[in-house]
Amino acid sequence: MIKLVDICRTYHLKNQDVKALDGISLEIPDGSLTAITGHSGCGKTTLLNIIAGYDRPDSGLYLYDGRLVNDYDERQMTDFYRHEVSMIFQEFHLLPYLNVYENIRLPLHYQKRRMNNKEIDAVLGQVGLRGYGRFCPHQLSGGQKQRAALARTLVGEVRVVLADEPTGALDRENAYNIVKLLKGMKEYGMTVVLVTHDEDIAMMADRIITLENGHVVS
Amino acid sequence: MWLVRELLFHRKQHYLNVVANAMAVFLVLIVSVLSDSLAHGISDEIGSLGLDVTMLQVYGEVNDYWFEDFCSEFDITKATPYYSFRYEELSVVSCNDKLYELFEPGLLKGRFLNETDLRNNDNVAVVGSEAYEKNDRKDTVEINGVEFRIIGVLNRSENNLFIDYDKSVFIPVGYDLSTGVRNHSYYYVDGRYAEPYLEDAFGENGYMLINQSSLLKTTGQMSDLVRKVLLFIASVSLAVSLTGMINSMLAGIKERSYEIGIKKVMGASALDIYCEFALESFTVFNIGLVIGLILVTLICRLITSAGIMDICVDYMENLRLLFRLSLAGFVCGLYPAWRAGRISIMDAIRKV
Ligand SMILES: Nc1ncnc2c1ncn2[C@@H]1O[C@H](COP(=O)(O)OP(=O)(O)O)[C@@H](O)[C@H]1O
Ligand SMILES: [Mg+2]
Repeated sequence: MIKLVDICRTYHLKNQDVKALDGISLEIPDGSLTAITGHSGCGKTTLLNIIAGYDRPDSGLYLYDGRLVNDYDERQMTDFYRHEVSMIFQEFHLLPYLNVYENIRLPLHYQKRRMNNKEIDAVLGQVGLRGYGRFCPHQLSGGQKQRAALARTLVGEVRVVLADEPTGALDRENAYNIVKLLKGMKEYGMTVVLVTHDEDIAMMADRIITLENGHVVS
Repeated sequence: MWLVRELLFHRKQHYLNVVANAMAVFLVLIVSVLSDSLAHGISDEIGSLGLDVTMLQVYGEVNDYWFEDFCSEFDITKATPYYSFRYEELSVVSCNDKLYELFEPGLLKGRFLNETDLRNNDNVAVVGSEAYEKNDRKDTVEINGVEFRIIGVLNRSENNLFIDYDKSVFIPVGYDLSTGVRNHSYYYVDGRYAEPYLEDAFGENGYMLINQSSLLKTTGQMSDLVRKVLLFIASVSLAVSLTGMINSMLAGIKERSYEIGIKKVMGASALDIYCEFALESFTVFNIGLVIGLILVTLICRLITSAGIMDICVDYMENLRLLFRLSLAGFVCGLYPAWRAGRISIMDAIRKV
């Protein structure tokens, strides 16, 4: 379970301080699908980065399964990325010089696990990309890239999937498919946190958290 | 492995590095190889003089008979005193018949001094070719008012380390016609164990020994010095190219922070990234190394086939050098790799 207590995060720019998160407290239960919505610039990405462990809050506590993530050292952080949380990005972030198979193997490589092409094909089937294993990212459409990214997250077998506007660069149909896949991940037992500013998509979640100027409003 | 693909993807970044490294490695290797074969050439030359003869020069006055005792003491059979002084343009040498056996200079005509000449102290002389010409090809030569009958003329000499035959006149050892300084030298073979004795007899600075091995030693030392200096200069170029490589790796890391970020998101530890980058720069450097090696081989073939010099590249000999070069490349890759490992996900993926 993820528990945030009074999280604050301020970006220090040259001439001003931007208070991106200002006292966020929330709980995200295991196996839930949570949507985070809010206007652009309200701190959604900042919040997600903190949950993912990429960024650290200036103040406040981040408890993951009751352990204080604030105090993790570098090794614990790496383990955290390997086995606990993974992020899906609006820009997909596939490595351009690797084909789909190899991109999907990336988390396995760092987890020191192996999977042959057949097993990966099964995962690709789940996300509707069967037969695209040898394609390179530049040969795929946006929706396909995002599905490859989803497959990459799936094989990583992390417990929490964070998606930062995964549908932002996609058309409605593709967006809908991606969200359905995310729902599938939840059925699979993963905890999914979905950032979106699309109302319809947010409605598919178990719970909606709305941010405004670094505060939780609902 | 996908690291290969990553390397290929970023090949543009590496082209110049490879070229610079190849040139530097080439320089280092060619210097090593060339100076090696030069050194070999020189010592071959010295060796081919065929002189297993030892020259002993004694400073100060010595008894004329000590050398005979010395020879019998150390079982030296081929030996001659060589007392020389300058007379006009000639070098007058008192010696015995063994001198010919020692150096085998070859005769243009006549014969060399023989035992009878020596026993009787006959007024006979053997002259070098130039001395013969200078003496207007007369069949007598006059030295300090004493007339000598010329019984033989030597061939024009090939290289000889010790003696310039051409300008010399050889007379029986019994004669001492010098009015000024006379050099006391001795030539002999097989006197290997005599050195301690000589030191006892003449003191450390009272004599000088020259033989093939001591010559080889000094030329060896000299060519070694030259080699070291050249290698140092070549190493500077290597250092320059390595600095360039470090620099461009560091620049490349900035460009590739995005990929590093993705890998970290996928669970790569700083150590993983570090290893990948170290491996990459190691590979890049070694590609340069191999190219440099190929270049050296080609150039050496070329030089050899053009007949300028006979160079054969001894790869085993240079293995240690290659290994050290490779190690240097590896070490230089470590710092950029370390920097790559330190990049945080936030810096890498989240651009403001
Ligand atoms: N790296 C950064 N440096 C400085 N300010 C930032 C940075 N990232 C975000 N911000 C600021 O923090 C606020 C929240 O940003 P963000 O979390 O990206 O919002 P959202 O994802 O909801 O659009 C914005 O005002 C943005 O300008
Ligand atoms: Mg955002």
